[in-house]
Amino acid sequence: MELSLNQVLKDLFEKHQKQNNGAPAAYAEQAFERFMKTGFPDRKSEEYKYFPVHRHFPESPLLAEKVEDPGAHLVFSPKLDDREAIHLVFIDGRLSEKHSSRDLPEAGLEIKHLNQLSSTELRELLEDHLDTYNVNNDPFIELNSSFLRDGIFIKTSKKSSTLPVYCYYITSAEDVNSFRNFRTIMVLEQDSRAELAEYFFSEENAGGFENFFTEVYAGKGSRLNLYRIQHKRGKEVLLNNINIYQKENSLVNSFTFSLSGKMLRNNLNFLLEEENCESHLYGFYFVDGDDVIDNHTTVDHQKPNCFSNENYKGILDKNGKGIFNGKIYVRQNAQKTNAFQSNKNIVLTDSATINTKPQLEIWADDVKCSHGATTGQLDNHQLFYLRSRGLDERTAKALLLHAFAFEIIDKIELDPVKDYLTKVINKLLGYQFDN
Amino acid sequence: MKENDNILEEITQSEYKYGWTSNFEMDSAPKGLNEDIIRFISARKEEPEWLLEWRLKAFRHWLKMNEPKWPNVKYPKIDFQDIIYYAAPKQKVKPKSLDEVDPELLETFEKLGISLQEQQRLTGVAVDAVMDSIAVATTFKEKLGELGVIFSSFSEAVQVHPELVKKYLGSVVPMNDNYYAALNSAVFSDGSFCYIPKGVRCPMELSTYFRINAANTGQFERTLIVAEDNAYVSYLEGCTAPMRDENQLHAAVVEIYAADNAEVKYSTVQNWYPGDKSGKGGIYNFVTKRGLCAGHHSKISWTQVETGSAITWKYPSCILKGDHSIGEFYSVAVTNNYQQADTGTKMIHIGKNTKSRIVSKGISAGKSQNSYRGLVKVMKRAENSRNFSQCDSLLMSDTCGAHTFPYIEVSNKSAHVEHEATTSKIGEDQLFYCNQRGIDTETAVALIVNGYAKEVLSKLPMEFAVEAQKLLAITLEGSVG
Repeated sequence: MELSLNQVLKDLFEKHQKQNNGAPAAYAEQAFERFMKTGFPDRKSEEYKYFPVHRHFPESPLLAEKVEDPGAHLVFSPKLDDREAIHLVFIDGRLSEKHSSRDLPEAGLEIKHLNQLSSTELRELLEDHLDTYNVNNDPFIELNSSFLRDGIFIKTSKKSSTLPVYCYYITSAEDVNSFRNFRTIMVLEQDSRAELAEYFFSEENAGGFENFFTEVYAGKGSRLNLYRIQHKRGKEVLLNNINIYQKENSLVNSFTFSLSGKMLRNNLNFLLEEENCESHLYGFYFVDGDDVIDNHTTVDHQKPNCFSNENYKGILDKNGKGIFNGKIYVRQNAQKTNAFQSNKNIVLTDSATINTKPQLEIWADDVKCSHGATTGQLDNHQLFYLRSRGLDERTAKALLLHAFAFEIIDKIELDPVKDYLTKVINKLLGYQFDN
Repeated sequence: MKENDNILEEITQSEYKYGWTSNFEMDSAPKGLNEDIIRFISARKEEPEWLLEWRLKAFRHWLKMNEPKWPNVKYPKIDFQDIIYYAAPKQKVKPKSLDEVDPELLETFEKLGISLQEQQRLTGVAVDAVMDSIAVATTFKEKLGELGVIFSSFSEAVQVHPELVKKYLGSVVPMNDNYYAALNSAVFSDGSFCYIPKGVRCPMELSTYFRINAANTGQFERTLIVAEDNAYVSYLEGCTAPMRDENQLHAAVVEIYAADNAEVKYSTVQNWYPGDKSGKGGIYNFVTKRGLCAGHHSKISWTQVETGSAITWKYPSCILKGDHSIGEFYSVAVTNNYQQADTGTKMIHIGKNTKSRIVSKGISAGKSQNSYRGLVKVMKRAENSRNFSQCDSLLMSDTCGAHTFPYIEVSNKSAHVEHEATTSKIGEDQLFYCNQRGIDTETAVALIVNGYAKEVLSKLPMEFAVEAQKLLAITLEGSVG
């Protein structure tokens, strides 16, 4: 099975290279070579132990054809923000001009669509950003680079707060064989600030396999809030790698909200390359139905005096299967590191499963690191307390779940995102007090 | 800070104290592994046909298996054909009592500080000593016999109680469980067998002492402990080996079976030769230990102090099958110089209302790597199961590493699983506090390390707790201890 998958991908890659519409050829070839070394993950792969991705990859994958405006015929308005903001709508990985903001109202902000560039332009643009970090040897990062063509490049040098950038990734393809690769590259220049929200959305009949890769270069003294909202209703598989490279004195807050998805996987990797970086990783996942939601995170402390804090919470319902893996690496010269991690789960049914693996690997001695993980159900005493005050069971449960989830939501700084998530998550949890 | 560094350096200077060899005439098999060697071992031990078949079956399984690569340790490939699989001190006649045992052998044990007579007279601990594969003497047998407790070497048990051995052998660790368990099943040469009948509370602590003496040998002992309904036993195990430049393999299997209301306490002080300061030599300690809480309200408790071995790789586990059964794991693992340890536990909750508790304390110094790897698995039917895990790491130098790999898999909503871990070094404020009260830094380090490990050490039986504290001192604290 896995052997044939590698072969299938090899054929596809050769075909893709021949068309010569990809990224710099040498770059793609090297990436593909690295991919072939690891191969497609099978059931023995430690990193994909609980996420049987090999069973869900298309048998004869098809890369998307070039389309004029894929969104021309769609009616779409899930705009998260009514105020002035930059909205970019992608349908199956292709920009829909009809739905996206046309011009950039601000100086100091550069946005380019990778598939509108020639190979040379693409190479020039990406020159400094092709040296991909892949600490866990993730084969999907290499696949993404091999098939690099669709994507977006965002660069900001604004030092005051900029307009938030919203990227909407909508899946409309229904073909189970469709295989989509998408790359987002964001560069924050020195002391700049930015807010980026990525919203993944699909309707019930969507299908195929999506391999997204987001890379963020946070320059010296920069600040970024990164939001990821995943609310998929279709049958497609989403594999999302996120690499964040942090330079001196930078601050990155990452928020991941996985609300639904048949097969959803996030690999969030923080690389703290210089001193005095600060990183916050917040996450909330709600796993319902037969969904499988997998959050892998890595924080790689390479230099001294950095701080990282991770807090992921999950609610597992029905036959949901949740997976959490948090790695913290503290390299030998990363002295005075403070790294914290916490993962808390509530399991609501006997058929739901949670697999969690908080993992610390430390090679420096003057550090403070801790992790904690808990799994349990709602506290009967708390439920009783609420019931004795006249709340019915459903409401009481919803109230407790609301309290559990909102520790994460409260951290959001971007109001429209916060309002939207409050509404959606309350609805998911059956909580009716607000609004 | 400088002074502190000096002390830590000094700590790493102490030598292995058990590094002598004894000169016996040895009766050993030729190097290498094949079916003939297994037949040789089996014939030498006058084993029944079924056991030979069992060994051969295990061997054939082993041939098909691959050496595991997943542990977080690095070592050159082991040449399994370059090992002597059977080595026994030569004895003309079988000893009937201690008086007949080779005096030099007894001296060896005296050097180890476990003089058999001494033990017998003063502490009342029954000792089964295993040297290079075969059991040398078992003390206190008669006294235990009165209660129906069987405590003997494995080969004797095969002769005297074949039905019991046949029933339980491989029931907890199947012969094809993993690479090293299969190897052990094929070539195990001796070990201990312990059977506690219904309702008996074993009046004394049973103890086995393992020693690898001959060069180029591997030690493959097998321990099988069976506690019937309402039985109780506390079992101790200790190990040492001489200093040698080459690496030696130790692949043991321990099986524990606990019936209804039975309780088994298994304590290990492992002090195999860890190799010298440059990482040369030392024992590869690849051990499979597993307990099965088969009956309701049964309890298995593992306590281990790991100070030796070049590479330690073991996961004493509990399968909590009976309702209300309890599994416990307490561990202190110390690594120094170039030692590598990948150790931890597995708690598999199958029965209802099962409980488990894991306390693991890792201490790494020098250039060593210390990993905790654990699995807590709650199966679908394990209603109201509870687990608490704590794994802390203490780093004593900036060239060592501490790693934790806890796996938590929960498939039942009523389960409560908690895990917490911390990593830190000895705080300067803690040292300062001690200094300020007139305790020199050296003593303060000892104090803090002992305090750090106390939760585990306090679980050891008296005799072992003393030994374990000494070992901690030797491994880490140099002149401090």
